[in-house]
Amino acid sequence: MFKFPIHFIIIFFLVSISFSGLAQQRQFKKDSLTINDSISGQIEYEYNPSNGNDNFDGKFSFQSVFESKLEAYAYEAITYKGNYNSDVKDGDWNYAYKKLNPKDRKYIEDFKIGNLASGVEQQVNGQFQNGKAIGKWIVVRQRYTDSKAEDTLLSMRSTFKANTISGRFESHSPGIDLSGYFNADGYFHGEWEITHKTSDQPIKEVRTYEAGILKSYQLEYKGKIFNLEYTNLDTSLAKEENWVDIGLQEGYFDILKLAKLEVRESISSSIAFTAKKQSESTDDFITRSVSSLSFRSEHNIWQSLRGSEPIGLGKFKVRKYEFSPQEKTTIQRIKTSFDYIETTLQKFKENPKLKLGKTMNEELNQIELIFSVYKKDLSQLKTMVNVIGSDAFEYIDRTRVFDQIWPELRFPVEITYEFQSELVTKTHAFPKQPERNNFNFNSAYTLLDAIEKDVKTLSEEAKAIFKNMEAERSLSRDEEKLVLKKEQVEELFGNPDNENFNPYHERFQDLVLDLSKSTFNTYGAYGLEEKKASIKNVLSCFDSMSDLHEFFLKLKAKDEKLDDVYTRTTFNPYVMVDMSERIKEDLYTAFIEILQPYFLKKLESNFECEYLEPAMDEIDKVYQKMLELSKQDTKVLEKELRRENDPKRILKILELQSQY
Amino acid sequence: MKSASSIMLTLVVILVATYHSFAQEETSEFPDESILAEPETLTWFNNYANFRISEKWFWHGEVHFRFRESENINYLGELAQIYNRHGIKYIPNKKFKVTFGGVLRVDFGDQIGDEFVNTRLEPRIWHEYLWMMPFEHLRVYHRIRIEHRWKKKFKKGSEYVFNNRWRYKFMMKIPLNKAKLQPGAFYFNPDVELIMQSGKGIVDNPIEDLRLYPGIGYIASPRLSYSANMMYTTGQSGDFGGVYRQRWIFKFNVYINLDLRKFDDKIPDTSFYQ
Repeated sequence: MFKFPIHFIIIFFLVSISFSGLAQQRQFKKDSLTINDSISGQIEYEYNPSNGNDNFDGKFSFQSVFESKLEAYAYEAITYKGNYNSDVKDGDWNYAYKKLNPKDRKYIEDFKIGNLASGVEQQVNGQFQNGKAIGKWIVVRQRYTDSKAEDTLLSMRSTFKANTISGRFESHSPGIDLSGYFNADGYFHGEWEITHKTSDQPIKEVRTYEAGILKSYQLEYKGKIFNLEYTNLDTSLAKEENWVDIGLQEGYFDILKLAKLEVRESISSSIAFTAKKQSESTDDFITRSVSSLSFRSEHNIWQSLRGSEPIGLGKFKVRKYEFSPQEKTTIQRIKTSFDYIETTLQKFKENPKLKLGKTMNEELNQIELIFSVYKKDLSQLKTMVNVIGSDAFEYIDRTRVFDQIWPELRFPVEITYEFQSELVTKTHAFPKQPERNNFNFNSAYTLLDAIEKDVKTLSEEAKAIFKNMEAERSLSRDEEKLVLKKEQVEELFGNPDNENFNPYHERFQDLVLDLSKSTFNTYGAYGLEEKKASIKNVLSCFDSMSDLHEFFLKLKAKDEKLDDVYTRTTFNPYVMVDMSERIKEDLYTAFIEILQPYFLKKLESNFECEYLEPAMDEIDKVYQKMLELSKQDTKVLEKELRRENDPKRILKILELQSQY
Repeated sequence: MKSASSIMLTLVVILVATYHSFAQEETSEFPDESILAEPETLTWFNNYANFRISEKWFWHGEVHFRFRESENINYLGELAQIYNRHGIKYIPNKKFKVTFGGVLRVDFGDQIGDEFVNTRLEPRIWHEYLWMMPFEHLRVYHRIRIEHRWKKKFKKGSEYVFNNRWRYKFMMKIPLNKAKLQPGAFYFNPDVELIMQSGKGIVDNPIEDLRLYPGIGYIASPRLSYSANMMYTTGQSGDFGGVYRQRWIFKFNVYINLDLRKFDDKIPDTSFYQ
């Protein structure tokens, strides 16, 4: 009784398992992929056909080799190896970045031949679970010679829980050993020991953090322990204070730089210098070590591929001294003002006219000297503006910092310069030096604003001098041109023996020569400023007169052309002669007998510089219209034009408008 | 033009020599002196047309109405002939043209009696060759026209007799009020034509006609001209070679030239700025 159901159940299960096994069988695909917008490489991955073939599911690898833009290396290579689960990183992952120079020596592997290479490789090995970093992570940076690892430049170990770095952290390089601890929330916590393996005697630093807040800082040097502190950095939490988290990538160490590191004990300046230098070196090493888990330059290596969340790389807690809206505005003004001052001083110095102008213009010497005073203090101002304008400035105690960035300006009361072999002494109202005790945003801005105004005023004066110099030089060149143009016009219209001289030239000869003479003489009587203002127009007038000569040349040819197009030539086979006859006679007659004389008379009556170009333009348009009409049916027009003697009425019939 | 002139000269020499040989052979039968017949007076109204049908081909058409004197009226007495001449003309260049075609002339008789018919038809085949010599202000023309004609008398039962006409014409057109021949120009038109004939029936009268007709013309347009001539002609009579007939003929001519081609083929495009 029971035999049949048991067999049936067994077979059902076997079939179901086989079917589901077949359904879940992954497939393999090769494709190309571009990461970081520009690095294209080949990917090989497994996918589940039931989710489409672009869904990573299973093994994944990426490889890209490209020519390096770095001077010291020929190639760079990036590889990833890891696992996906339904498009989410899951399991072990390896990232490797290589900088290589191929060597001449060859190697053979299977049926591949390649070159040995030297360079540097950085590998990151870690684990993901459902797209989040977990477990132990290791970073190794090694130098390779002829494809063999020769030196370890960096080795780093850390642990992640739920995408947050936590637990012990170790990092070693040939120069520095670092060990520390992140608490469960990812804050720097506990003692961070840094040993600088200097050649004479190791220097040891201990930075103690409490949930991201730097509580103490000690440095052991030559057997002595020194206590260090950042004087502008708050290290004690208090109520009503605004404390915020800030990560390595968000500029924590920039804040420390502004916070002024001081040694509590009285020490020699050389030790203080060493302490500061080692401290900055430590900051840099911590940044590089921790960042290497997820960053190469500015690229987030794990975000370059899909399927994981940004990794939490540890954080600090700092007090934020939030800017008021007015302070933000003042900071922006300070930055803008300084940029203007710096750019203007630089432009003035680089102006090629300065050297020549100084020999002729006393004021330029004065401006140059005043600008050099400002330039001398520019580096102090730049330090001040860089501090005030930095993002880190909002996290340090500003009441202490202003005193430190106060610029110690030494503006003179008088300035003395040499002009044309004589010493000239003058006073100049430089801005008032701000008081150190009350130095703040406003006094910083007041100082820069005063300098900016002074620089702007002097710069405008200098610009006017340079412009004037240019105008005078330009005027001189233009006057040479003017004389040439006048001679050219007189040659063109004053020489009837010229083979190009036609009746039009003859008719307007006296008018052109008179206009040339009067224009030139009027210009000659002007003062310098009037000359500068009018030279372009005068040159243009002579250009128009030259154009008029060319225009009359062409006008004669156009007359002939119109005569031609308004003439029909018919072969008369009886007398064996080509016979010409006028076509559209009423139109042609209206043009020849009324319009053309009208325009020439009008030009004669208004023979002034400003009317020459419009007159030529107007006559050109009428000729062109006549040419167009020669090809059109003009019976209606001709009927209207018959016995019409008024040129304005004719222009209207021809749909033309007077230009002047 | 040299070749054209030399052909003309050769032809004239041959014609004159032929005339002399005829004259010498028949001297014994001729009276002592030639007889100059009384002159007739006639008026011809002639229409000459040329229709251009392609770049170089034309249709030539002429219709003449020729009147002769009657008993009471000189010049315009009665209709003597209606003359139709048509042909295809080929003008390879502006100095030469050749025409080939046919003529059908209707003659109206003036002899009274039952043995005469009132009208007769005279068909001809003709071809002509014209050379033009251009000068700065005037034009000179040499024309050779050869006609093959079938002619019969008005007498009933007359048979057609075939003969040939050999015509050479020299003419000039000299503009009077313009520099060249163009619309609005009056021109003077000296014109001389010698017409010789040959054939079985031509025994003692090879010189059919010598025509002298100066005229005045006017060119109204390239398509229309007019001219008027007073022509004097003399030639040997068909009945007896010793008799020289004379005619004074008023000629009124209209010349029509039309271009039958499409408009677009005649006017080229033009522009100042091309």
